[in-house]
Amino acid sequence: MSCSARLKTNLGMTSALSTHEVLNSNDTMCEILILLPPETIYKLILVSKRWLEIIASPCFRHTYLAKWKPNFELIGFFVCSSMYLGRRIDGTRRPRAEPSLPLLSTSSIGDEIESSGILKKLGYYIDSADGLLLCGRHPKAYYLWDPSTQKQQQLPRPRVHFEELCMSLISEDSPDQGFSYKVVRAECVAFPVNSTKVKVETFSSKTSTWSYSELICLEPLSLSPWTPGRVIKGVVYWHARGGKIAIYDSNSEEKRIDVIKLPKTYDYDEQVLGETDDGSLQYGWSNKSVMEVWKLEKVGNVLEWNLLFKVNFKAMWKMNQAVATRFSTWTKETQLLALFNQKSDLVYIRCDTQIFIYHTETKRVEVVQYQGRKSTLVWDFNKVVPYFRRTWPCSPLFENNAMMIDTPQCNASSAGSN
Amino acid sequence: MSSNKIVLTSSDDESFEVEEAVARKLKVIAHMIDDDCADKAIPLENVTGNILALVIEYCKKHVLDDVDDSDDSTEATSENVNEEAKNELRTWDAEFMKEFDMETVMKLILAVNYLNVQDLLGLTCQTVADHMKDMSPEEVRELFNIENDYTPEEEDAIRKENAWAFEDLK
Repeated sequence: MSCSARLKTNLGMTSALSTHEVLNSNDTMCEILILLPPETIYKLILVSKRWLEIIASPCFRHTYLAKWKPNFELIGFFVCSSMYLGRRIDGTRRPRAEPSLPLLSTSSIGDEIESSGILKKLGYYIDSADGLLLCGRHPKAYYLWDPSTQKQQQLPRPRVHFEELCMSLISEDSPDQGFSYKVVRAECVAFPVNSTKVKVETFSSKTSTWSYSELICLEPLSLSPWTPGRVIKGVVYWHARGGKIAIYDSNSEEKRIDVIKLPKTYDYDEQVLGETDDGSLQYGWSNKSVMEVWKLEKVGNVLEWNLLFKVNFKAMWKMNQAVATRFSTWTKETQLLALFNQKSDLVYIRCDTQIFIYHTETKRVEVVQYQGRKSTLVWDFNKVVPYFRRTWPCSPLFENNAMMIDTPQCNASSAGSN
Repeated sequence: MSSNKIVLTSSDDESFEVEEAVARKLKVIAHMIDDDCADKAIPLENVTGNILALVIEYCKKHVLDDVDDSDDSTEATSENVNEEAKNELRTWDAEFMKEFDMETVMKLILAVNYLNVQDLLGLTCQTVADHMKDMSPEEVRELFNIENDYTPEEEDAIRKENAWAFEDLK
């Protein structure tokens, strides 16, 4: 900007009293810091201890994230062995050599998690939210594991037994209470065919108890068991039979569950759910030749699907000859693997054992390097899901006394809260 | 009512006579007017005359924007005129801020934070933020003359714990 030169030259000539007064006031500090973009703000924790304390505080985090997009880091990909998860009577048993919770690590944190051995103790993958991991063995033992504290917690036993179910993890962040979470399990029944009720049990970390409720739907509904759902701002999206999506707002007092038909569905296609950068649900599917990604938008009072993009795999590889030749993708089937977190211009695709990122704007394909390639993973029978961590500066210096310096009471007016 | 004059006195005893509408841009003063405490000169202990003059200059220029919903008396103007006026104000703001060194900007921030002039607080903070954008921690320390109170070990620990923050986005 144009005035920067002058600001710099004049600085040394004046007394800096006001500068210190501004920087010493949490109020005005927050007002300024909230205006800095993520690339800058995270690095500034190195300025001084005070800056780290202010930036790392839950209160500032909350205000900042109301204005700027959160930052996610891919830790790796989890392989969900839903085959074993439900322990169906006729189900296959997991061979001993096969890990229960395989992580295809793409980061140093992922490598550390893998080598720490914790993944052997958690059972099977169920869901994750902002890095928090929900695992377990149905129907008794569920664990939550937090990568930032490396701590695990076993949930109390649910009180209601569901033969088959869908489960989701909801993370919440409030300025005064910090992080909390909810776990929702919903019963999946194929019969009676015309049931409009869904039984749900919800665990809240605030009360440490499960509570039971029945959701009412306006039309007959049957959830698809063991399918990964998606949670966006407390609203849970699950797959339902007949190519539908069930929508349950866990924040609402109303015990209601809504249904919307998917734009397209074929039973054997790959289907994934995700969140767009503006907090809408996105749905992607692929077959042998194409993939499509759709966004669920509210127009007036009606929800409708809009196509974000459609990609023909053959054409895509033609645009990326070098990569295609290197991994000989011509002879193998390509499929949509997963959507990014709060992004729609990038998607994960897979060809054989290779994972790629596809950039919708540049139409380029980029290889994702990961550990664990040698494992006996049977790709076609498992759902592979990206494991993201929401990143926010943390302070290793003050762990025992997190708020040694007074907690910033930032009520920066410029940011709207949700 | 609009011709009412309010007198503000700075910490160094400079007096400013301003229109009530301008004075009302200072939320602190607006409350005093509403409470009928503005019949005498209002002393502002924390603001010097030269800074108060700048705040008043800004408020005079912006006296017409965000007029209170309660007495929205401005006649309906066409969208285009509105847009043009906004652009003109934006240019004026940029020119206005260009005049000041960092110390003055900081004094303004303190003053308007105290006087509660939200849009000028936003403008001044944005000026500082624009300046800090793309700066390294070292440059920020230098800019504000901040002492680095980390030991090298502590700094290493923080870099390690937050490694993601220092990798440039791919």
